Amino acid sequence: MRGDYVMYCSDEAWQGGVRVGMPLSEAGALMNNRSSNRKPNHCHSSSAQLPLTMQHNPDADRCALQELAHWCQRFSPWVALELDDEPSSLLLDMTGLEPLLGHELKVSQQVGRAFERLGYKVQLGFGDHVGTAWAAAHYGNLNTTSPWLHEANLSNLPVEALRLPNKVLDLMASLGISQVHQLQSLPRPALASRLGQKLVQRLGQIEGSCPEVLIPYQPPPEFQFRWVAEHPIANHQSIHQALYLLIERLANQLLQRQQGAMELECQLICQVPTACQYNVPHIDQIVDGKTGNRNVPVVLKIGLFQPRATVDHLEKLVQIHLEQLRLPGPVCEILMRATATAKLKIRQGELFDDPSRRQTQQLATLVERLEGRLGQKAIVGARLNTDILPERMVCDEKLTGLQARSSRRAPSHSKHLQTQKTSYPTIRPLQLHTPPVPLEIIAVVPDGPPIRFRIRGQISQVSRHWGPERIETGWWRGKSVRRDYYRIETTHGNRLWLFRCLEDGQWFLHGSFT
Amino acid sequence: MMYAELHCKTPFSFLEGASHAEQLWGRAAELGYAALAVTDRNTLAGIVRAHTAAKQASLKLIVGAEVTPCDAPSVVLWATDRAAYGRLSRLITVGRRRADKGDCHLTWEDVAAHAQGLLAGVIPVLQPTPQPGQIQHTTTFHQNPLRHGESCLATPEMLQPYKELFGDRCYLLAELHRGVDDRRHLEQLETLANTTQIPLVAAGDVHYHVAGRMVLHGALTAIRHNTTVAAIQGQLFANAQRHLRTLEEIALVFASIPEALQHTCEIADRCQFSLDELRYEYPEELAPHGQTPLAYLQRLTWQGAQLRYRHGIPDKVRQLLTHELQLIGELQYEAYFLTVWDLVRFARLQGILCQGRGSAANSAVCYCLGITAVDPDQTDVLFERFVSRERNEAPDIDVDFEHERREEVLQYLYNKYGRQRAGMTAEVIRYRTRSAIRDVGKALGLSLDRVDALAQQVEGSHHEPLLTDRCRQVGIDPDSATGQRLVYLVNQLIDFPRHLSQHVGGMVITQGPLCELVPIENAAMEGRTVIQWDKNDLDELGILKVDCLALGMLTAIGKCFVLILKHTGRQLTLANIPEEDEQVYQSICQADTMGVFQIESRAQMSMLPRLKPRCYYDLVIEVAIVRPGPIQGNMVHPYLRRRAGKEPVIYPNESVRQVLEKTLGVPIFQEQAMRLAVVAAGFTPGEADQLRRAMGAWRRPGIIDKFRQKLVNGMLGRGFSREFAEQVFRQIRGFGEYGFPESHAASFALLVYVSAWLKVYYPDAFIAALLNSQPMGFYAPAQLVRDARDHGVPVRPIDVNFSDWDCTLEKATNEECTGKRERGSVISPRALRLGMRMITGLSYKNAKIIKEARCQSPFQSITEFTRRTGMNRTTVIQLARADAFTSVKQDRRGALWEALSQEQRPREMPLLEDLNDDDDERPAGLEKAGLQQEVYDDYRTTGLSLRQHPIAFHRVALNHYQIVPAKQLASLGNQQLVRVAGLVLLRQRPSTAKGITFVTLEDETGTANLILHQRVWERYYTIARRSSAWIASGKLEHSGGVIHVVVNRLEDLSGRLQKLKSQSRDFR
Repeated sequence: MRGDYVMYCSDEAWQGGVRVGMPLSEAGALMNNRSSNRKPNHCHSSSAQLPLTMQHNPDADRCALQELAHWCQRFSPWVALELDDEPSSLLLDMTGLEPLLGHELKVSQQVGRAFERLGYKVQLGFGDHVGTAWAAAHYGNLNTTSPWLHEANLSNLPVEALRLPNKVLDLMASLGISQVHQLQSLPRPALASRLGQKLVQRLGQIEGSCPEVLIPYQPPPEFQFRWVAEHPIANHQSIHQALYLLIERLANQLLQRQQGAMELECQLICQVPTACQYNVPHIDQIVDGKTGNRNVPVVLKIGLFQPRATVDHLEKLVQIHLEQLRLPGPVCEILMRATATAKLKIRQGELFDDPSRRQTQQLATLVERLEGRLGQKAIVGARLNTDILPERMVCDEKLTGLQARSSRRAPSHSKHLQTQKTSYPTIRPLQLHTPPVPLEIIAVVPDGPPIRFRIRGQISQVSRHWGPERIETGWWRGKSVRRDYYRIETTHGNRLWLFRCLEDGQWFLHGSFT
Repeated sequence: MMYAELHCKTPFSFLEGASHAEQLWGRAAELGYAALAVTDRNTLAGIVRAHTAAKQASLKLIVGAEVTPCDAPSVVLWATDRAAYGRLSRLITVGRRRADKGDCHLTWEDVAAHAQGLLAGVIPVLQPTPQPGQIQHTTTFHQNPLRHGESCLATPEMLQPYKELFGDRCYLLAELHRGVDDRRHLEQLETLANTTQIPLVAAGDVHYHVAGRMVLHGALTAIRHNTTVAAIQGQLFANAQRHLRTLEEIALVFASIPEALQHTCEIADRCQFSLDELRYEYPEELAPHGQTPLAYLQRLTWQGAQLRYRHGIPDKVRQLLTHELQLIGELQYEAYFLTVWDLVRFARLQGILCQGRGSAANSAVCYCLGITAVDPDQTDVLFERFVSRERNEAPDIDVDFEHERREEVLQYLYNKYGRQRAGMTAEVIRYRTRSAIRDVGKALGLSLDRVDALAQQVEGSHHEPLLTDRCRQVGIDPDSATGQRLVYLVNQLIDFPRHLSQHVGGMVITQGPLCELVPIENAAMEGRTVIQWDKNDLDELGILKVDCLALGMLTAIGKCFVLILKHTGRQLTLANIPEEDEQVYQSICQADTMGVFQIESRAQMSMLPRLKPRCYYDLVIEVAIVRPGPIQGNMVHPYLRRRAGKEPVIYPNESVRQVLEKTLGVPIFQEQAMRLAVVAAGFTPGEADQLRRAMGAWRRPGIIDKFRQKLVNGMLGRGFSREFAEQVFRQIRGFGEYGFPESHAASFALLVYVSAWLKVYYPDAFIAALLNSQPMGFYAPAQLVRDARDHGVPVRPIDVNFSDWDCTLEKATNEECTGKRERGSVISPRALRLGMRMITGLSYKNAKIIKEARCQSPFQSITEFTRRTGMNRTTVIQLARADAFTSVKQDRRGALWEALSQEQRPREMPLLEDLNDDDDERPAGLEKAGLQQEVYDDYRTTGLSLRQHPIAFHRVALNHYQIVPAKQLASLGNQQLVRVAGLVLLRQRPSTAKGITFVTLEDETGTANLILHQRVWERYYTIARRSSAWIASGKLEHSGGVIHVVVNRLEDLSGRLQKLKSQSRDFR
């Protein structure tokens, strides 16, 4: 945190004295001081409010702007992001749209209102060129009747309106150039050699003598297909056919991009008569006003062990999942979407099959199918943790989906498994009792192992023992766990793993060696 | 059963050991151990603390270290005698010097080369290390896990070399910690011991003194690996067994191998080395052949005395010298004095100004040797304060050098004595509240902004009793489980060492190899080597160090002397400045002291007109009295009143009068406090010295209260009133917070006088020297230059045709000399030419090139300038913006326009050599800058302007608001409501001033002193903290020639002046 600076701030923060470029700690102090001053009797016990801060994330900013660009296509078919490392403006080509949208003043009001509904404040500007429009939006006087910036008004613009890097602005300030008309009066070649080609280009762009292209924003493809039935269908055969169609298209699109699905989402919109009280909590129900039918979406989520784009396999999985469900009514619409994808591994086939490769294939198929039948929680993998506490040494992890894929890739993981395998079987039992079974001790060596104890009504006599092994851990989680573990062998030849809780002296059976 | 623990880490195995030495040895003694070894990893940094702790606990200490060669199993080495200790120290030095700071690279060869006399306990790392969860084996705890791979496993083949090398001095450590399978572990060890014939010895691998410290150890481990406890849990110890276990428990654990327990005592018996044996020997080569160092020192001293007192040595001094020399001879400190004398002689030869300070100024010998400059004939010196027979403690000589040239002195020492014999003292960086919160918060995985907010809340250095309250304030619930852990761990972690750094200037020099006394390691700074002990460790063992400190003012004075010599031919030294000059004191009394050493701060300046120093000794008092100590002890006002004759000076008796007479009955110096304790409370001189040390230990204010009872009772017993006794105690306690000893103040006062004298008689050279020594002092160059102009020094702007890197002096023209002059009395025949160092961002290298290039002829145009100097475009632009082309092209914007057209990197173009292709004038589109703009640009590029003060442009508007120019404040009546406006020069908030902030505003007429009370500061926090120019309204207060405005309202003026590069200097 020590090196953090303010990148942007709200109007409220600005009023509080926060400035862009200020160290965050100082900004925090400023805001703190304000809030404590506002209270008439500033008592020390009240917890001071820290200002709300967020880490500057240019990627997220760009994503949000891209989303907005997509949304803006309702105003213009040609929407572009400003060409900049960190774009903050959207450029809309309005050429020829006047018959549709009306006069620019009307358009600006319309757009402004639309943004307002989204919860944004928007600064708009119109111009003959990208340069003028940008200048109008940033430095134009919005009080005038027209938001249009004409070339005649260029000269009084500040040089900041030229979209120039700070370094050039700084130099111009030193030269005393603050307005565009000052620049215009200087010889262009001299300007280019002194203040850079960029300046001349920008000047040309704002004057319209230098062309500027808009590269429209295109959202990345969504792996999503929809099928709408003419009449709601209840016939399984037909539904399957529709599904097959969708999966085929999806798989084709995926293959084109060498992608495989890691997670599939299949939505079946079923039509349920209002009279029918089909109770589906937390599923959106859309009531169709005319027919009095409700549309109930049924959602299938399918995770995959490895990326796939095979039609047959995907179709099979969807079917398995579908079999588990009872549809509340005839299906009127199906939506098929790959919610997570990953790069497909495509290897050349070999003359002789590599059995290990086929094994993973088979494992993948097995896992995916089992999951389809038994549910996601039923199929998990075991992962070793570095925890010292025995019951926390292993944890379950999901095998399918994108997350599982990334954790499987962790390099250290498999190594752990191997080293552990060789060194433990005799020292740790393979099976643990969860929770540990309390033991009734009949005789015990003081501060040592038990001699005789009762377990499930049966009395056991200890013939040999190893230990104690002491475990004291977990203070950072809560109460620390302190135990002395013994491996014991009973006279019956059973080998058990016992521990004594050091806090209260209670004995427990934690595992059995087999 | 007898047991000695042989493997124990202290906090000096940084972030590994989790208990302090006192705790470890205290606990071990309590448990009845026979001995406890200190074996930190690759370091001996903690052994002195351990030595002290072991002495206190009356427990035997075994000195050793855990050494980790990269190609052999790690081994614990114990020193049997002094020679073996020397080899261990040398071994660690070898490893440390080879590696970067903080690291140690050793090989088996190194261990073999230094093995003689050392006992070895090999740490076995066995094949399967069955620690559940602990995936990597224990070697991950080594600093460099990659180096401790398979090869370090303790196979018989790996152990055989140890056996061969150490013979019967080799052991195998058996460390059992209730691990996964102790029985099997032990079996393996026994097999190993049998095959290799190395006996097993029991050990505990102790990391902390009690089991409860496991928690702190976990946090430390996480901090060391820069992660959270939860993330690193697999590498933590599985249980808390690495504490000092009871003898019964140890007996139980090692029941099957009793001989391993016996071996611990065997080893303890074989280690007969104690740190008390370390005898420090001074370098002796300084005395010429055939002469003892003492005789040589005597000769030098008397020779020096002849020089110092040309009209005959006064009797007082003669007596002092005889007495001191006798004592020095008795305590065998002569070589030390010679070392310092040699150092000072070297500095003098090189023309480096230096002056001794601190308690050394109590010595007439030091004066005669030229180390210090305080004449013992004129002040009361207390040699016992410096060297005392009963204290048997090393004297401490601090010498200040010019801060820019101190490195030369240090390198001289390294060169003269070699890296093997000279090293810089270390400084142990310890956890303070703030750093502890940061690290613990991270280790517990708290969100960083909360941790940061909490760290911001606490005072950095002091113990924070209100930590829980502070937590609440930033939204951490101290009662929650995490909150409790945080508070607990922070409190535990405070004062733990974090790493070693280098001391500001302490050098240790020995006769024999230093690395056999203490390991030497590399410092972060190139060319420096540091020993592993800090100042306290050296004190403890009675090892002498020479403190070579850096002082900016000496640099300035040195540069000033050079300038004066060059321009007037007058050769000045610290010793030949005319003494007690009336005019100098005159200007000091008027607080005309900007730039003068020590007395230029706001507080000092406001005190000067009241104290009115008239002689050197007044300056000594002035330096000492305006300090937090005397201010808190409430000594300033009684002294002022008595000096002004408003209050009679009454002494309770004659002996007190003798002590306090020269400071009018108010104890101002540490020495007086000591003497007062002797004459009034019956302390022995030794006890008085303990009192002084308690005063020095300001970090722990509780200690001095122990002396309270003794002091007060002693004084009551001698017939003093309780009131007087309590008052004396309060005053003495005030010294706990930064008080000055008289000798120190006396040394500083000399520099005060010298710098004030220079300012009065050579204001031109003085300002140039100050500017050339920046950054230093309280004021920014803009204020210094302004002050110089007020004193009649003509100042000329930076110009590529005239300026050097440094500011220089030029011959002034007549009209310049007759220009306005306000306070100065000496007409300066020289003008100051600002140097290119004033230009922000310009490098020294470029300035030098420019100077060389203009030797032949002055630059005629910017193109020519670029061609001849080969400057790149960026630099030319920098110069143009700073208006350094005035002599080439009149106008700044025109110059910049021209500079912009230069090639990015100039190429050789011989054919165009003579072509002067500058455009004649700036193009019509560029307007000439207005004066105001020029001033702003000046501030932006050089931080000051010679044209006009930026506030001046707003004067008309300010008049409209009825804002008074600073200069007029003096003519207004007391208690009148006024408004002033100006740039904020400095904000100062002394910790003693109860939240009051002192601010200085500057406008074009002068400066105004503001006082802001806490609530005003809070109310206008944003402006107060951020704005660089204020309008302040408040009440005017005159007192004793000092004018303040007590502010009750603030407004921001900086909006209009935003582009200024004016930076306030803020002090806390």
